[in-house]
Amino acid sequence: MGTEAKRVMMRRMNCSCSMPGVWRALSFVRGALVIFHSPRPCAHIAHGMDVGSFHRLRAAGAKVRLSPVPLLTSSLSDAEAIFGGEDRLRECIRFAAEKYRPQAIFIANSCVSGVIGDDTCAVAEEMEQELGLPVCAVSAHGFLDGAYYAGYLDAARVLVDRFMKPAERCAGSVVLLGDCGGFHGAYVEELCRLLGLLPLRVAGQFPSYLALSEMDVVPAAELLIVLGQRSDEKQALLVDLARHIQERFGTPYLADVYAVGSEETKEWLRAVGRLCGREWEAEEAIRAEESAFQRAVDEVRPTLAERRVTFAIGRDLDWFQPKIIMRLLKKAGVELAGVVLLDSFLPGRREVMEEEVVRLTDAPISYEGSREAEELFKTADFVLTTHELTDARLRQIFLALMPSVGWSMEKKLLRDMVHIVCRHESRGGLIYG
Amino acid sequence: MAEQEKRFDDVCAWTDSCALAGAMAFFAAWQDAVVIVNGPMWCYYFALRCVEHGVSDAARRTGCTQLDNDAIVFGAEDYLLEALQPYIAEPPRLLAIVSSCAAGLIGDDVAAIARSAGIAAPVIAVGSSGLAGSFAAGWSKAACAAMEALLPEKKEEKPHGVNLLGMTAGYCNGANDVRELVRLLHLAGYEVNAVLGCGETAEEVQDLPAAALNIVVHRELGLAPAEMLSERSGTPFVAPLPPYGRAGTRRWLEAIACALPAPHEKEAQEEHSRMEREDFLRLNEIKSMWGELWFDEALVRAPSSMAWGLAKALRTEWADVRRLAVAAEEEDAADAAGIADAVFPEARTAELAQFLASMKNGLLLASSSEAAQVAPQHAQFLPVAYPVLDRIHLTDAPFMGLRGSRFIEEQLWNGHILRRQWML
Repeated sequence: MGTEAKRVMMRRMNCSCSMPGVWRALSFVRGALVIFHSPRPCAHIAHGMDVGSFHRLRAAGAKVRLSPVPLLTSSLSDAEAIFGGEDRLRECIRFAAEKYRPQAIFIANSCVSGVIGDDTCAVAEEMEQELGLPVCAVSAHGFLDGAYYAGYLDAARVLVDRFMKPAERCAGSVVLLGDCGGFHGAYVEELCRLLGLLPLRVAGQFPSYLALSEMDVVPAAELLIVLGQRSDEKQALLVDLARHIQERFGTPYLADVYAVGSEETKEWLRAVGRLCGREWEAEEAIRAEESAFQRAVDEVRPTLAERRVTFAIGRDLDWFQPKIIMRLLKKAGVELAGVVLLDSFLPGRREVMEEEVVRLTDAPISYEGSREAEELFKTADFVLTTHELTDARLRQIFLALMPSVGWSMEKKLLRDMVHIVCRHESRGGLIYG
Repeated sequence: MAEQEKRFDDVCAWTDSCALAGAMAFFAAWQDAVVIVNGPMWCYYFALRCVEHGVSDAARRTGCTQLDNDAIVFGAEDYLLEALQPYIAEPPRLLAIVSSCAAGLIGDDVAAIARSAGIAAPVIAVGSSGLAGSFAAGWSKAACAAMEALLPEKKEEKPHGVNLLGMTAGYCNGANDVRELVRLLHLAGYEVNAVLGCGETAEEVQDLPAAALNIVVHRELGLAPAEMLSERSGTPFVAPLPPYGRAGTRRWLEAIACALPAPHEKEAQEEHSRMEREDFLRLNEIKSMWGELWFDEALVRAPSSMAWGLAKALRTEWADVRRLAVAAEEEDAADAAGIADAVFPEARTAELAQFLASMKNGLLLASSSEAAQVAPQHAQFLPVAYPVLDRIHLTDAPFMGLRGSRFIEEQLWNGHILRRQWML
C-alpha cells in the first residue's frame, strides 16, 4: 500500500453546525446563559470542544480554567419532534431564569427545531416580556442555514445590538474581533505582545471574552482589530460585523491585512501604527522583530541548508497558503524536492491549489498514490504535510490548521525542521508543527 | 424543580455522545461492514471521532451522505445514492445506514432507497438520532436491528457456549476488557461463542443462538439484545455487575456459574486464589513503606454499569475513601447500597462541580472532562471514560477481571507514591 493521508472525505462545503458557533461566541460571556433548543446529546459536542481546547492550552503552557457560563438544553425528544418543542423551550427558559438568575438568555437552534418549525424568535420575545430580562434567539438552525460561523456571528451581532452603547473613546486601547484560538491561545498572546511594542493595550477580545457588563470597551476602543488569516468569503462576514460596529459607534477597524507570516505582519504593524498614530513605533518594532528572526534563521541554516523536503498539500487554498512555507524554505536554504497533492480536495479545488503551486515553484508536482509521489516521499529528508500520512516510517512535520501570528510560525517551523532532521532516519514519525 | 433539573439543567459537563455515535460504533466494530451516516458532515465527524477511540481505522469503513438544507427540503435520496455508489460494484458483507436527527425527521424510506441502489449485501437502516438518546441507546438499538435482520433460527446449542453481550471498543479500554473476559471464561472452561459488537465480522450474529447462556456485561448496552435473544432463541441471560476488582471478578464468575456451571470451576478458582495471595503480599510490602491508600474524596464517572462496578471495587477492595461520589444514573439498589455517599446523575452538574472544587486529596476515576475541573495537585486521575486527552494507554491491560484489577491497583499505588514524592 502506498503512502496515503488520514482524512475524512468531503463532497460539499457545508460541514458544520451553528450551535457550537453560538456557544463559542458566548461561552465565557459572564452574565449570559445559553440554551440549546436541541436534543440533549448535542451539548456533548460543544462541551467536548471546550475540553479539547482546555487541554490544548494547558499543553501549550497556558494557565487556564475551564469555567464556561451555564449551557442548558431544552432536551428535545421524539415527542417534541411530533408535537412541537415550543412549550418545552418556554419551560426550559423559565427554569433557567429561576435557577441561574442570568442577565440574559441566548437560544441556539438545532436542526431539529428547524425541521419541526418551532418559532423560537416568537418564544424568545414572549419570554422576555414575561420574565423581564433579555431573551435572544439566534437565527441559524444547526447545519441548515449557515453553519458554525453563522451561529458565531449571529450571536456576536445580538451582543452588539442589544448590549453595547456608545462610549467615550479610550486612547491606546484596542479590541480584538474574532477567535483564532481564544484569548489564552498562542495567536492572541503573540498579537498582544506585538501590539504592546507600539505600545497599545488590548482591552478585550470580542465576542467570547467580555462579560455583558464589559461590552462598552468595544465602542470605546481606539481600534478594532479583526482577527483572521486572509480575506475570503467567511472572513468577509466578520468584517461586516466590524463595519456594523463602526456604523453604530464610530469605532474604526483594521481588516484588510492580517498578521500571519513575516511579510504580512510587517504590513499589519504598519497599518496599526498608521491608524493609531504610531508609525515610528511600528517601524521600530518591525526592525527589532526582523533582526530577532534573522538571528533565528542564521542559527538553524547550517543544519537545514541543502536538506530536501517534500511538501504534501491536501488543504484548500482558502485555508492554507503554501507561499509562506515556500518563502521560509528558501530563507533556511532547504531544497524543495517536490509537491504532492493529496486526495482530500473538494471537486475542482485541487486544480486551484496546483495553479498556485505552479505560480510559486518549479519543483515537480505529483498526486497522492502515484509512483512519482512515492518516490518524492522516499527520497526526501523529511515531509511537510497538511494531513497526517499513514506511513509511520516517514519523517513528517504536520502543518497545523491554526493560524500563527507574526514571525512565530516561521520560528517554530524552523525549530521543528531542525528537530526532524536530527531525528534518526529509521525512527520516522510525525511532529505537530 | 427537581424534574426540570433532570430535564434541562446545565450540561456543561455532559460527556456522553449521542445515539448516532453509539449505532456507528456498533457496526464499525465489524471489519466486513460499511457504515453510512445519513446526516450532516458535522454529526458524522463527531460520531467518527468518538468511534475512532476504539476502532482506529473506522474512517475507512464509514461514510456520510453530507446532508444540507436542500436535502431536508427535497429529500435525501440523491445524497444517499451518491454515498452508496462505491459499494455497488464492491458490496461489503453488511451495509448499515444510521440516520441523524434531521434525516430521521424528514421520513425518507432509507432501506428502500438503498435497495433501489442495487447493493448486493444485507442493508440495515437504523434511526439513531440524538432524539433517541445517548451512546448506549444508539448502540443497543443498532444491536437489536442487526439481530432482527441477521439472526438465524435456533442453532444447535453448545452446552458450555456463552455470548458476551454489551461490550464495545467505544467504551474506554473496551477492547482490552473483552480479551480479559474471554480469557477468564476460557479458564473456567466456557466456550465463548460471540462477543456482540466486538467481534471481527457480522457473521458473529449467526452464531448467537448457539450459546447456552448470554452474559450481559454493560447493562445499558446489552440488556435489550439479551431480552431479544431470550424471546427469539429462548437463551437465558445473566446481568451481574461487570467484573471490576478481584472480589468483583469472583462474584461475576459465581453469578455465571449459578446459571451455567463452569466445567473448570476449580482451575479458575485456583488461579484466582493464587493471584490474590501474590498481590496481598506485594501490596503489604509497599504499604509498609508508603502507608495506606487513602482519599478524602473520590469521584467515579463513566457509563453507568462501569461507574457502579468501579465504585464498588474502589470502595470494597482498592482504597479507603472518606466520601465517594458516583456520577451516573442510579444503578440497582442492591449494587449501589453502601457504596456511594453521593450520586450525581448527568444533569446535576452544579453539585458535581462543587464536589470537584472541594477536592484536596482526591481521586478521579473519570474522563479528561472532569480532570479539567480539578487542579492536578488536588486529585489523582485515572482515566476510565472518554474523552481521554491527557493520558495515553498503549498496553493491553484491561480494567476488568483479574488483570484489570492488578492494573488499576498498580496505577493507584504508583500515583499515590508519586504524589507523596511531589509533596516533599
